[in-house]
Amino acid sequence: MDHQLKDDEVREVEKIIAEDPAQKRIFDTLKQKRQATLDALEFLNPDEDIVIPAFEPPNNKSDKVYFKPIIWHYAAAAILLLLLPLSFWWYCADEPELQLMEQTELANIEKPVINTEELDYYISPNRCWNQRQLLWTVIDLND
Amino acid sequence: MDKAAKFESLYRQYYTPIYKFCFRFLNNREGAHDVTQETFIKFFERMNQQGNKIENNRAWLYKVAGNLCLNSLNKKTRHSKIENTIEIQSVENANPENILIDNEKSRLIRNAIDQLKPENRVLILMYQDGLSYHEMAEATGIRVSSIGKTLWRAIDKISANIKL
Repeated sequence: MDHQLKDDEVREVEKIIAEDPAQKRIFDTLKQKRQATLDALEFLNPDEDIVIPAFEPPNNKSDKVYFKPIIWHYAAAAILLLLLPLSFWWYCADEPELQLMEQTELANIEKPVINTEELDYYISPNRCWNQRQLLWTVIDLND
Repeated sequence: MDKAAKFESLYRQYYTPIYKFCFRFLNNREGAHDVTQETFIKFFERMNQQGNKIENNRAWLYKVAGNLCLNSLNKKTRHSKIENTIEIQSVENANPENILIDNEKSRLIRNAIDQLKPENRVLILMYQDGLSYHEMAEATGIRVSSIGKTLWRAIDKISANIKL
């Protein structure tokens, strides 16, 4: 297509073009289109002379400055991760009565009483098989 | 050569092509200048980072400039479409008729380019600057084997749109 080709590839293309006039016509059309496109694109370039401004390096951008924030981010994240379980542990350790209260509250929750008479509904076939199984288990246990 | 001298040399070498590339892409002097500066600031930062070596400086610069241009264009289209004016005017051709013809021609070409996908637009502008297929592949992420085909499609489309 253009200067991207190596010398041997150029020779090969030239050989194909020389041997086949149809190929030459195609090649010429492509070449023309390519050149016209490049000329058109060239037209978009700025007209004025480009003055290269002095480069102003960004302030506070050195290796050390780059390195430090990253380290501090990791350190802060690690401290936070450590503090979370520690704070939880401290909270529970400082208030043992709280733990006791929670345990007693759990113990005080009334266990559900299964009234077998109210479970008649579940005996009906085609309905609530799991509950029927439960009922039979309760009856068996009561017996 | 120390880093600063190397950077200065590359800055002098690539400022103009990168600026032209951005200008052709954005059609805006200030925008092109800003994007070029930002590209070189990123390049400077990258050079100062330890363990981050750039294999091909030219490909890297074009890649970053292309991405920044796309971002800038997206922002611009999001905020306002009014600014989409043709800036190119020949200083030498002070004749109003010539300016009109030039503006019409540049409008036509720009419309043709605008019809390309953004990545193809980047590609054709890189091709214009003479980047190798490998550099273009590195800069755009398109496979080297697909570059030629993609480029040809873009050229074909542009030439058809500008009725050559």
